[in-house]
Amino acid sequence: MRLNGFFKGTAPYILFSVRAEKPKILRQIPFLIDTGSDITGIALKDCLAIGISFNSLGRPVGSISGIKDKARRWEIKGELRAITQETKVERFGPMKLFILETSGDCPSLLGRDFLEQFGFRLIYNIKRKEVYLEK
Amino acid sequence: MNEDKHLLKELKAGTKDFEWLSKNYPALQKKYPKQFIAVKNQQVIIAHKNLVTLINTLKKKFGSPDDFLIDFVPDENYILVV
Repeated sequence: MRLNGFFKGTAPYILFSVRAEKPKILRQIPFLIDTGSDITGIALKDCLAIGISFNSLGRPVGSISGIKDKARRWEIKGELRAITQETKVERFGPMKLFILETSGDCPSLLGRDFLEQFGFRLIYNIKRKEVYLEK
Repeated sequence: MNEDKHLLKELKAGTKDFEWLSKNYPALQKKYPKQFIAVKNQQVIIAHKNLVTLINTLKKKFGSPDDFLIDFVPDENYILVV
């Protein structure tokens, strides 16, 4: 199975439709494919578009540490849906997702947890303008 | 089955918009540096430096930001480290 990605500049992205019940989420979100991230998380920009209020999420489960700042995080369960190269819908979940209180310019992240849980490998070839997840 | 059809249609439209954004990224960086953009049907519908203002404008004009791809366009000197 192949899920095609996209480049923003040289950064690899992939589009998923995210569904969750608590809080209610149903939105297409571009994720930066980040093999340096332990977790998959929805960033502030996408949370605001969904209408998630951080005050309604209760106590955060912890924070995420980046190279500079720490950001609060909340854990939820959700499902990621994507379109395959064969134009079929595939569902991935339930899986652990995190709501991340990042800065506005930070993208949502698809971490190694997704690659591990669903057995994907990342193919990234900037010279050939190729980026996809494959299994 | 119907849910799959609907989802497939939505994902195809979203994919087209993101493909468009990807292909036009250098031009978008020149036109909308350090701004948030809302994209639909391969067009920038609204751009604004403030994300909350952009989302509120989408709500006011279209009822909801749900159907729009919202993204941040950095300038050419931007370096993202996550």
